[in-house]
Amino acid sequence: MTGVLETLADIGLWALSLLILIGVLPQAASVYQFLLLAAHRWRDHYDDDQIDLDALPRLAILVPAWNEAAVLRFSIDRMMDLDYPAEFLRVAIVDDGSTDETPELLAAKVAQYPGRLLNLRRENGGQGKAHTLNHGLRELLADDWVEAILITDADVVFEPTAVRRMVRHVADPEVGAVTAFIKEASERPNWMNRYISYEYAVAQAVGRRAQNVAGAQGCLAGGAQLLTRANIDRLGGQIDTTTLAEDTVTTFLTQLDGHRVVFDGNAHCLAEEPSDIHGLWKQRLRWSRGNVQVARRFWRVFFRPSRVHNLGRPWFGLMWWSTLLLPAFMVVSSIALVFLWLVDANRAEFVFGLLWVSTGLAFLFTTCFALLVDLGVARRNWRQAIAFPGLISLLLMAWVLVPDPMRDLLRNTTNSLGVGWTPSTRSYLALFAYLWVSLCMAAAWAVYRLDRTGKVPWLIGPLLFVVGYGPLLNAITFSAYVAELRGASATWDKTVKTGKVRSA
Amino acid sequence: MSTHRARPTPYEELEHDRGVERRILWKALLSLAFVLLVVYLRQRYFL
Repeated sequence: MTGVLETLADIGLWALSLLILIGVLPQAASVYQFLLLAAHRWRDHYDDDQIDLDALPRLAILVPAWNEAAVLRFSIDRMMDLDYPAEFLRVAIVDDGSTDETPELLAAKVAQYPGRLLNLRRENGGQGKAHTLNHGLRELLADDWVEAILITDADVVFEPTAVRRMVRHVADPEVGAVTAFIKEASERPNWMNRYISYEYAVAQAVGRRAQNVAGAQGCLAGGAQLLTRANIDRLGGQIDTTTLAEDTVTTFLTQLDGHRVVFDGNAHCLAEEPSDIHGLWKQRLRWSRGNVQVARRFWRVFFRPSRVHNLGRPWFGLMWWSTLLLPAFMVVSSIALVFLWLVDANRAEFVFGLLWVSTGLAFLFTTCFALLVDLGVARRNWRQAIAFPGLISLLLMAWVLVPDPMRDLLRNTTNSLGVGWTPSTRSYLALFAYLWVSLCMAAAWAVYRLDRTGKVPWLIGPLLFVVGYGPLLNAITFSAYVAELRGASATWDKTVKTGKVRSA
Repeated sequence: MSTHRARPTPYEELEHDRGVERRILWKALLSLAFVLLVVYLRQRYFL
């Protein structure tokens, strides 16, 4: 009988250890993504038989706009100055019933660019971006002139050659859509803009290149969606209006139909992004809820290999779900750590070490690689790259990677504070470290709430440095789970743009 | 003599872009070497 109980206890301990190591899964997916990136030169869609530098399709740039006068004032001129033959380019602005000076501005611009700028105003707007875009698509597709449509946002500024770089891929009949690298480009970036800038380098310059290699793209950048006319026709001439992630749905449907979505990391455009936590939370909650909705709609696609598309390949499923479920993994891992600590503290310390050594090494590899991939971003934002996980998580990584000096440091600190380096102090510190895996999200949420009060704006940046930008993103994803479970209303919460993007 | 640099042709751009993609492999190897160095230093001096 004792033997059976011992076996059951062993199984329980192993089960807890495995639950803790679930936390390694997203790190493993991330490292694998970077390894795929290394092979991008062989899958970059730059082969001579894939692209055509001379065939320029007749292109319409479609811009949804609601109260965007501040940014359209500049962005229309920049679109007209693109390095693309004027007779092959039209710009269509769908004014979604703006109440600012957008209508007057558009009237003046239409007079300035006759025949090249179209004002497709909706009198009864306010239904959201997807409906606004569908109005524009209907109008544009009614004319045979259009061969491709580039969906973008009013604040996005394309570098002069970016569109030409994008369209070179559509000569390949297998390609249904192309996307570009959107960079955060505020004229005077603050700490939040810098975090976003680095995050975009990882998510796009790295992530989407890796997805090129895998042959499965997770999402077209909403501000740079080049769609061939044939592809739009296959989608029914409309984009999805049932989720908050119409760009992701377009990406999935294009690939499910057997066509490629290509990311061109050398086609750059610049955009204005949120400059405070409140703005970021609003924008990312919409994105995260959209991703949850997409996952629900396409859940049968994942982990089911197909001859038509690559969305069912294991890596893509692992990448998608480990990103979406990262907050859940963190909570499970943390709770399991505490349980294991209660029954076997030594084993808990060992498994914790495994978890954080792998996290630390993965962090070093991915951060170093990401900074090397985009040296411009690295020059401007290397501090945010290092601070991405937050000071406390960095200390935990240092604790497991260089334990001797860290132990001395902590012993001296606790002694100088008068707490003493006693077994109970070490026990409390261990418990805090084990809980931090999930506690960091609660801490990030607290920083967000503090930011909303507007009482101590000077404290928000330092607090986020301690807690971490990564945990903040996870807290937003967790919040998206809650919003979807509660069935909260899914309205299009527009990000306010002020026209502070620097020129291309 | 004009100091204005001529805009690259699409063919030159393509060569430039291919070069960017070729260099990524070396950047991967450099990052891997950095991590291996950290692991070596950890084993050698900090454990």
